[in-house]
Amino acid sequence: MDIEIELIRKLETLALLKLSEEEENNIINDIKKILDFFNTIQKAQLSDVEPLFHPIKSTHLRPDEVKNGLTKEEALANASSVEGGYIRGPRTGE
Amino acid sequence: MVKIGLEVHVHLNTLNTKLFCSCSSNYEDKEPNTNVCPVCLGLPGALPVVNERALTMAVMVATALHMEISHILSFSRKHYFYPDMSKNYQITQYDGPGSTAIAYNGWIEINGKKIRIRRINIEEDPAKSIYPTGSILTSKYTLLDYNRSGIGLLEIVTEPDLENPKEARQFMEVLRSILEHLDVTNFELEGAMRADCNVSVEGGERVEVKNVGSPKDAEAAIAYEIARQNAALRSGVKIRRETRHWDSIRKVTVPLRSKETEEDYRYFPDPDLPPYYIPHETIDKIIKSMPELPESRIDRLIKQYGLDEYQAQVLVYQKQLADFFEEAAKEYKQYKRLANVIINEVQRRLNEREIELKNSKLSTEHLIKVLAMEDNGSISVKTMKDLIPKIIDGIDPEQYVIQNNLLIITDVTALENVINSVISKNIEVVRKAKQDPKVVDFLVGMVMKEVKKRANPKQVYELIQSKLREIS
Amino acid sequence: MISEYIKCVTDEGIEECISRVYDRVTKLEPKLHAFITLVDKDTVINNAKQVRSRKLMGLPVAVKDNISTKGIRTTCGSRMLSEYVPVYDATVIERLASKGATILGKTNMDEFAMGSTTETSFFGPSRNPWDLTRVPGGSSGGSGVAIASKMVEIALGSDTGGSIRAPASFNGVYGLKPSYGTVSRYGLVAYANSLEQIGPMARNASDLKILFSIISGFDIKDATTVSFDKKDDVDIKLNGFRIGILKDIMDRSSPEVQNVMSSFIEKLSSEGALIEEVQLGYIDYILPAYYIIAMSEASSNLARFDGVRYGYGRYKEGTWIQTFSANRAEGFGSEVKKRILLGSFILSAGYYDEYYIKALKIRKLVKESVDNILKSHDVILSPTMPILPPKLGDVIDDPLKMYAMDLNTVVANLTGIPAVSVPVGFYQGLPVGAQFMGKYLNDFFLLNLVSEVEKITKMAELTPSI
Repeated sequence: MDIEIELIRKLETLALLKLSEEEENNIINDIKKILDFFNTIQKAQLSDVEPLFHPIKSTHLRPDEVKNGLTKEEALANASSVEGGYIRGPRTGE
Repeated sequence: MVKIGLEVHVHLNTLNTKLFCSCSSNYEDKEPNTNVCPVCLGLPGALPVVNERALTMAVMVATALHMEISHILSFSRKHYFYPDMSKNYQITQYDGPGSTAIAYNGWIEINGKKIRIRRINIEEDPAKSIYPTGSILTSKYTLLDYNRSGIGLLEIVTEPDLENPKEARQFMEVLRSILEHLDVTNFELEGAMRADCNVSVEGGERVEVKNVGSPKDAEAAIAYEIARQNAALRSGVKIRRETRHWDSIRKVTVPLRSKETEEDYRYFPDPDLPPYYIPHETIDKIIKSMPELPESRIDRLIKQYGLDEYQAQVLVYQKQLADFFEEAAKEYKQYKRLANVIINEVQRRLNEREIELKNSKLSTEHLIKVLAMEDNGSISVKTMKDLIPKIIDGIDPEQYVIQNNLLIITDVTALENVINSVISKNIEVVRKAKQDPKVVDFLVGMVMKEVKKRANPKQVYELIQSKLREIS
Repeated sequence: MISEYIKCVTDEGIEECISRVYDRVTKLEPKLHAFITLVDKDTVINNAKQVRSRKLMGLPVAVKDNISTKGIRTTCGSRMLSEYVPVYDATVIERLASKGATILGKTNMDEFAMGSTTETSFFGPSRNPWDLTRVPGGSSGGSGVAIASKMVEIALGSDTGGSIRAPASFNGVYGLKPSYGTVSRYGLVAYANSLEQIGPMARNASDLKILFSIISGFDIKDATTVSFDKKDDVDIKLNGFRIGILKDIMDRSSPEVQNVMSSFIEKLSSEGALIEEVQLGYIDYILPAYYIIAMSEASSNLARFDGVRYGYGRYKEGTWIQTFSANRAEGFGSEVKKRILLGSFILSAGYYDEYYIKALKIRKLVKESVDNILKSHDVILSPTMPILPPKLGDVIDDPLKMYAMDLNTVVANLTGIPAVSVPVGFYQGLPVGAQFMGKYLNDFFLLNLVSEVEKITKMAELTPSI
């Protein structure tokens, strides 16, 4: 597989990780190697096999009963910026 | 040729708790960030667990919409970054390997036409955003309140079978009625219903209009969007696939973001939520204990009360009216008349004042009193109609009628006084009475005007006749 | 041993016993760097005094730094969370507290558990107490070191692809990756949800079992936990015990490791164990399949770190695309970033079937293979690690070299079966561990086997002189 910087940039956008040019150049060889390593599985005979999504078969549900949650102070405790009880986030418009 | 498809999101706000955590689902009027826990705040290490009653709600709605119900309950992650996302992925449902929506392939009937429902998803709502220095497009930053984060939603997706704005409104009204009858959503709460409307004209690209909050909004937004697209086409502009935002104040759609490249949501089954195999008995039990559906209620109103189809439909599709009708019908047995008054008078007055029946002070007791007074001739039709806004405000009609002198005058002496007065003012006309019988009608009219219609026209007519005979 | 601590407290009192712990920690930490955060002595002594009536009498425990501890900084070995103080306790922490344990501190780890040597930690590596120039294994390296150097009696780690067993093996101690679903993950900062479990580490079989008993069990707050029978009534006898040795794994281990393993196998034989070579199969596909699944889940789990509700939030001006990209690029180290990018790639449209689904199919085949072997054998045996502990810096620059260290351990994570590492010997002073894998949910069976093995190896309470 031909791994170009374009692919790395596309993944940076998908994963919202803005790498520096230097980082991109450093990382590209490792990514190539690892993708080749992943491609090993293409040799496996898998047409009749069902995927195993999870080691356990089924889960449990939860009763619809209210339980106490966090206090406001706890909810805001680790936010880097708060205002009037709200957590401050970045803007949405261009 | 217009094609309209809807993605309607309704809050599962009759659940006690959120979809994946035990925080209360009642977040209205709470101080910001006081209704949260590690799960809905997206703290590292927190895990989702499905609310068992959300499954019940989804199965009921799916049944009402004639859908095929999946035998497993499974969830997928839909990845996108946004300030209001507590995990930067939404836990939702998706049709793919290892995952499925809760129900597929149903329909709702509107005016004899089947609008197909593609699927129902159960999913979670993000946090609430405030734009302190402007709007979603202009504010310098966003303020986030996670009280709403994690509230359960049902997403109901139609095929593009709707063909005009009115149909879209009717569809949402019928859907709302179904959800009210099932007690799945309380529509009085803020944000209970939101729709994304997908509109395309002349076989072109579809435009998604977000932020539509009600059936009326849907009708207006879609009408605007159709007009906008047609105008664009006429001036040679091609419609591109995009997302627009309905501004319900300015009543226009504005561009939000371009959808030229499909977002890659990287759906995969949520590894924190292995599939839950829904036992047959569970589904049977839910269906057996479902409340009465609108379709059934309409049939029953027709059979039980002798209403016609139109009356039954109007009442049922605004559930409060049907509930009020049946409550009143326990005491008042002229059912068709009751239905007519509720539909034509009560509903009209409520609409004028833009209030819901349950937020007014209207009681069945008062309405029955009004109708009884007209039935026994104590008040006129006009008075009956005028009393409706009063009883909506909770005013006792019997007292009001007495205080305002609205009772029909039946006292012969009183009437004769009025008649005499009218005759004396209209001597010329009276002379013609012998030749022209219509004169009597005229006199009746004058008397009725004098008494402000508080008389029985028949009685007046007879009294005038006998007076005229006296005179001649 | 836990029992030694209990005796100490009974004879000499809490303050004395815990002060000795701190003396030891203070002396050794500069060399070993097992901890990222140490709770201060007075706090721990006070906590311990308050719970001395309970079973563990204030026993100080070391907890891997990806497990949520209320009021105690939890960094996951990352700059992204270097100032994050949780407001809630993980379920396992609540269970430990209810039995009277106290938390001594949070141990060093590979960043977000992504690594096998504890070298990707933002806070610098820990060192192997048996040889300070070598790695202690990872990602639960700090916990392994704290146990081996006798700073604590018991510690919690987490294991996604071998992260408890690798440090157990490299430090000459015991570590269990429990059956998937037996220990709640509520409060474990997720790396790969369908692969990982929190598990116990200790210097002897008895303490290992005690810790497992305390932390395990169904949790309503974790939809991936199961109810299982915690009855511990199976008597294990090595005579006649059927052991299947994974030949294809053994063959890929270094000669030094094979050497030590052979001696151990002989010991087992001489006790009457029935040892048979078996083939696992799919040997070239196991590691890529594991990493495909792990990285996909990781890329999703780490999406939440954007600096808004918690975490590295230096950048605030700009759109979310700008601020998130910048915070994440600076908050995460390069191994983590690599895995997020690769994971995003695998899940992206067009590649999902080619990689993710195929990896899940290989997972199915491997599960069928181990289930099959366990039909005719009581346990599966292999070396825990294919090599001796490498020198610091040796594997960290070559991702494939680092990933190759996990070959023996990922099988248990892919399939969910329990796996335990026990010390079985030394090669030129460096510890070698053997791994036993058992039937799904038969963790007590496995732990009782470990007791029997401990009797014949006599390798309990191993600790180097530093």
